[in-house]
Amino acid sequence: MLLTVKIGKKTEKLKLNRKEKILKILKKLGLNRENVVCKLNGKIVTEEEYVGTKDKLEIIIIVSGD
Amino acid sequence: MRDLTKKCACGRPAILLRRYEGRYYCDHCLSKQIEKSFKKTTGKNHLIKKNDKICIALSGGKDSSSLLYLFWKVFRQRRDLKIFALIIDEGIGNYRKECIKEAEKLCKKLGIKLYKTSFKKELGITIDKVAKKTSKTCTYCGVFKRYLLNKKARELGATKLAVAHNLDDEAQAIIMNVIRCDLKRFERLGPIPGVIRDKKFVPRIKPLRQIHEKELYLYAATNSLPFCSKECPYSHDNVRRDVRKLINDLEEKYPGTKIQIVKFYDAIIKKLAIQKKGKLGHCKKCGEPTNQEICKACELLERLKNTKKD
Ligand SMILES: [Zn+2]
Ligand SMILES: [Zn+2]
Repeated sequence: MLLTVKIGKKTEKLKLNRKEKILKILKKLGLNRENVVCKLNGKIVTEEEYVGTKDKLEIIIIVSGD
Repeated sequence: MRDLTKKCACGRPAILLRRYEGRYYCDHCLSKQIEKSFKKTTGKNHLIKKNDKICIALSGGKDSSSLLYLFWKVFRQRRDLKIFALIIDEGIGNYRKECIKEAEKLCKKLGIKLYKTSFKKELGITIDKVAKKTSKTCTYCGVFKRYLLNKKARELGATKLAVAHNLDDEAQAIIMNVIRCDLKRFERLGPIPGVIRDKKFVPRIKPLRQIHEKELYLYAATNSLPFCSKECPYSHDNVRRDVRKLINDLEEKYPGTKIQIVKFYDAIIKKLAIQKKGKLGHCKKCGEPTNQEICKACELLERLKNTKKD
């Protein structure tokens, strides 16, 4: 099963066998939880939530100010 | 839609796990925490005095938009204070123009006066032009911005210049100065950087110094503040970016690292009892405050003039 993840402007497909913790997905993508905010089905959530293939996951990369 | 599993102590769905506390926070409780930290930093360090005229350095990004909103929320009842905002267009393609639009929206929403100026108008250059002559764009941009913020804030009658440096920025600045062995700059960090008395120098204050960058993003987003989240096209591949990554990696492994770096700095500065109240002279070319004969901005402008295009 594939999960669609939106990261910034890019969209990626990730292979998912069962529900997985967002944190684990971030690790797979090489992203640091300190540097991202995750939206699950449009709502901001912690990285401790689980996602399945029916969910929509959006990962927002935090841009540093000046 | 299914229920989220992680909840705040108040029962609402969590948007953040503060790992160094082991606590989950919802949007409401996180906002309260951030406002508490803002009040604590301003109170403990006496950042605001009676009758202050506070100029907020706005960029249109999440940090300065949150800073402006916090000032409005916490201090809007204080009749003795005057709060206004200042934004500088560095001349970077359309990047800052889009941010200025967001800043205008926010100021309009809060009823705060926004002043605008640009490198082009004040210095006769743009960062796009600087980038054609040097690869050290961020250095030039930083020097010019500090210079103009002070000059403009003073001309507008400000007694304080509030900047949106967050905990991440502060931790990065500390480590960067260690790497560069720059004791002069190191001394100047802290909640009121460089407390120097000079009639031409507007003291800079950093009320967000104890707040994590991620929490400020969440604050701006959950309070529906207009802000732009575009990255500056010149910010790639500088030292700060590497230090930022390094500290974030440490924070992920050892939660609380950023807080500890800043705490350590504050403790060491107290122990060293560094005299911050030095005197300033004035630039022979432009008359702005400096501790050299010619200020850094004039020096860099001169260097640009003498640099041939690549
Ligand atoms: Zn709560
Ligand atoms: Zn000068």
